[in-house]
Parts: sequence; structure tokens; C-alpha cells
Amino acid sequence: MRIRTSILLITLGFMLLGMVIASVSMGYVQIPLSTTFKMLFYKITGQQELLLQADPLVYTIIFEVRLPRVLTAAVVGAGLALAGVIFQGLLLNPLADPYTLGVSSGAAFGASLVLLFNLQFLGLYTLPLFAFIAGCLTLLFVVYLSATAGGLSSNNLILSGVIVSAILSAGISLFKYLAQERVSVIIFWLMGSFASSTWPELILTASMVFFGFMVFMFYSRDINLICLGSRAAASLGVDTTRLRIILLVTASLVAAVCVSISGIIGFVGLLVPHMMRSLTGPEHRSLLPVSLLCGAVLLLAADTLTRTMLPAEVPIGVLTALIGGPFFCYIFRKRQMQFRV
Amino acid sequence: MMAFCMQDVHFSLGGTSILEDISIDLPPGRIYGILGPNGSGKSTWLDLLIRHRVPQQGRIEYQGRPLGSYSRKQISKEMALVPQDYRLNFPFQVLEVLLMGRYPFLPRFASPGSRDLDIVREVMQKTGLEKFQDRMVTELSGGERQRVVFARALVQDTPVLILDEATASLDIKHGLHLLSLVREKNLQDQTTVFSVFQDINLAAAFCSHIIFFKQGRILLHGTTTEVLTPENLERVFDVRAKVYFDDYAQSTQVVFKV
Repeated sequence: MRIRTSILLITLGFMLLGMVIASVSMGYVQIPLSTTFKMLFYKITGQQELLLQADPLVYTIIFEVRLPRVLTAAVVGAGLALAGVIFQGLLLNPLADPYTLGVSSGAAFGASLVLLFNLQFLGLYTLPLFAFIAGCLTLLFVVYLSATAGGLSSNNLILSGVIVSAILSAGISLFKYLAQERVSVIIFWLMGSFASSTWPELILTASMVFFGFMVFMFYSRDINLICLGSRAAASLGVDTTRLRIILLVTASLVAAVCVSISGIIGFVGLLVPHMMRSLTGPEHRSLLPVSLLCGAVLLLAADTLTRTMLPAEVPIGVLTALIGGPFFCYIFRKRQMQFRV
Repeated sequence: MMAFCMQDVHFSLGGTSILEDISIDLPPGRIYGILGPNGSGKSTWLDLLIRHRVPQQGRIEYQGRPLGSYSRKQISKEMALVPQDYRLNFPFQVLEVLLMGRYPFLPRFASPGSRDLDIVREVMQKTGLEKFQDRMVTELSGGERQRVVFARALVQDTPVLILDEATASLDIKHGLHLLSLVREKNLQDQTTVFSVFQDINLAAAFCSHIIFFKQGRILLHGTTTEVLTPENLERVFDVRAKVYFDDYAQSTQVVFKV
């Protein structure tokens, strides 16, 4: 059963909009929906009288605290979902995502290094840059480990990802040990949270995710061909080596920036492309925008859940792993049964 | 003009020489059967034709121009490949996979036009894939998938068609049918076909010319009647065989001494 892409896009678009408005209103201080509407409307149109009707505190809560957090959660969800689509398509492996491939751990390793030594020579960009470099190197190493003469086998790839992640986790633990009193910074960052999101970080992440989305859309047709195997893709006019490098680097960049902003958030990149592929089919021109929106909705929902409904704020990375992990097991099991023909 | 011209071509991979001393002129409009033992470099040679791999030494020309001077896109409009190692891991519909064969002719963001759909429909009808068109390729059997991959190459509608054991996992009926489609097109449009076979009798029935590979070299080549002899089969495959013209099949056939 396939649903038309346009219908899905519109539905998800409205869901996202609704979620943003609802989650901005929800929280310790409840803001009436109508006020939220008025405030957002003021920001867009600049009508002063709307502002005068409201409490200045409400303005601060909405624009300085909640909106950056809500939008960051949405953007990171979108980015992770996009990276997941690209990794799965390029590696011909429905189990690939930034988390299972070790890119997230790699990025976390790079970021922990920055936190440990309190590096700040590039200001805001130091953490994302280190996360990106470490994430890329990790991906290259994982691909190198799992490459066989016959290409990249699914299980090898995941296995290598897990092994490399384990080594990196040990490295991160060492950093935590060495960090002593600074350990809490690393720990909280690693568990993943949007609590401290700010506008500059949001803009950086959003522009990276947007850049990635443009690159992926530009090559969307070629990614479809890569799904048929590299010789077939080459015979249909794709420079497979070049395309692989461009897309893997871009996807790692997107994933690493997301990780550097929010810590390790697993399984969004796995879950979303899967759900969307069953609705739209694997044609990437539809799959990419639909996954982008779905990732945003999903992670925003998860973040709002932990922020407003749970008695204590569970770190978002923990929550997604608790929900996404079992889902991974389910897909893995299903594939095991399918491929034993 | 020659379709392909190869001169002193050498290709090695990771220090191991795969192809050596390949020099051959290949006129267009023929069906070439590529025969040789496993690991003799047949598939790699096909990769050179389609420039999936580039030789370290030697020259390859396509239609009088160096192959390297063509863009990837131009090549994909000239040659179609049915690879041995195709992947269909994602649930594309059969129709979607066939339409991919038209990608080289479409601008990046364009949707397929009526001509593309006509070609796809015609190929689906000829290959008997019509009833599968909305099925997911992941749900098809191995043979059905191979037919889809084969059909996708036909949809590309190119002057050169390259088949790498393209009928290996098909039942005899579908194998013969697809190959006769290829021959029909060869007679009609003077297309050039290169096809690797394991089944020597299929090669004998469909190919006007045979190229024998052994240990990374072209051992000999010529018309099927000329080179398909017991002596040559023994030289190439190290087996004893009888070659005769079969009236029923209306072609040269080979039987082997077990």
C-alpha cells in the first residue's frame, strides 16, 4: 500500500506546525494556545498591539526558552532522519543509521575531546567541527573494516559499527574519568538533551541540515540507481565512487552537527526511513522530504514528552534508545527470517 | 567504423594482473559470445567496455573516439549492462525499476514523458512483466528479479548491450525468450551485443561470433562456426567435446565427454 507523497507531505507539514505550537504552549508555565498564536503572529507580522496584550515574561519564555528548544529538536530529528535515509540507500542496508554505523559515537568522541580540554578556538564551531571530523573518520574506518571483495555486507557493516562504537565508548569513558569535576558536562551532553538550545546553535544546525537536504535532493535520482548495485548504477550514468564520497561526507556532516548540538540520539535515523519507506516506497525524491518532516515530528514529540509529561525529564537520547532499540531488534529479526531462503 | 577498438590493454587490480595484452577490433552489429573458464577476466573485460573500470595501460576506442572522452552520461546512452551482481534490497515497484532505465535520457528533475512510458510498456509486454508491474521487486523470486534487471537494460534502448551471465538464473523458457528478443533487436537495429555465457550451447545458438578468454588473455576469436571446435574447447576449458550442427535446433551444438 502506497500513499501519495503530496498527501503525506501536507499531513506531516500540518502535524509539525501543530506540534510546534502545542509544545511551545506546554510546560511548567502553561501558556494558552491563543497567546502562543498571537505571539507567533506578532513575530511574523510585527503588529505591535499583539505584543502589548501579553505578559513580557510569556514573550521571554516563548522566544528565548521554548521556541529555540522546540525548533532544535525538530531540526535535529530531521537531520538524523535524512542521514539515515542516505546511509541506508548508499550502503544498501536497511539497518544502517548514524547510530548503528558508529558515526554518532565517533562524533561524540570528538565532542568529548573538546569538552574535556575545554577547547574554544573556533568559538561556536569548535564542537561541531571536531564532531564532524571524528564522525567521518569513524565512518571511513567502519566501512573499511566491513568491506569485502563482494561489496559491503549488511551484517558486517553493523558488526563493525558496533565494535568501533564499543572502542569509542571506552575512549569516552576514559575522558569522563580524566575530566574529574568537569565530568558532569560530558555526561549530560552525551545523554542528549535540548534543554540548553540557543538561537545561534539552532541556526547553525538548521543551515547544515538544509544544505544536506539540498545536496541529497540534487542526487536523489542517482541514489535510486545506487540501490541497484554499483555496476548497474555506473551503467546508468552514475559516477559511483564520486557520488558515494560526496553523500557519505555530507550525511556524516549532517549527523555530526546534530550530535554536537544534542548529544547521542539513536535510532531516529533508523526508524523514520523505515516507516516512511513503507508508505511512499523507496523512491528517494519522495522519501527524503517525507522523512525530513517525519523525523522532525517524531523527535519533537519525544522531546515534548520528556519535557512536559514525564514526572522527571528523562534525557532524550535515553528515551529514543528505549523506544528505538526494540524496534531495531524487530527489523533485524524480520530480516533474518526473510533472507534465509 | 569499429564499435570497439582495444590496443595493448592491460588491467590489474591490487597488484594482480587480471587482463593482459588485449588487442582486438570489434565491428558493430554482431552478437559476441564471451566464453572462458571462471576467473579468466570476462566480467572485468566487460567492465572495461562500459568504463566501470579503466585499464592501466593501452587504448580503448568506442566509435573511433577514445572511451575516456565520453562522459558517463553519454556512455549510458550508448551502452546498457545486465550485471551479474544486481541488488534489489529495497521495495521498488517493478515499473519504477524499469523507468530507471530511462534516467540517462531525462534531465535530473524531469518526470518520464510519454515516449519513455511507451518504451517501458513495450518492453514489459515483450518480456512478459506486465502482470508484475505493481509488485515490489523484493517480493519476486530470483529468476523474476533477473528478468526485471534484464528488462531495465532493454528499456535503456542502446546501440550496445552487455550481458554478464544475464540468463544464468532463468528457466530455459524465459532464458531463450529474452535472448531471442535481443537477437531480434540485433537484426532490426544492428545493435552490438556482448554476452558472457557459461552455457556453451546457448552461446552457439545465439552468437555470430565467439571470443575465448583464458587466464586474462583473449586466446582466440572469430565466427562461431570457425572457432567453436573440439580442439579449441579443449585448449580453453580442458574438456573433450564433440561439435556438430543440429538440425532440430538449427544451430551448432556441443556435447561433452563426462
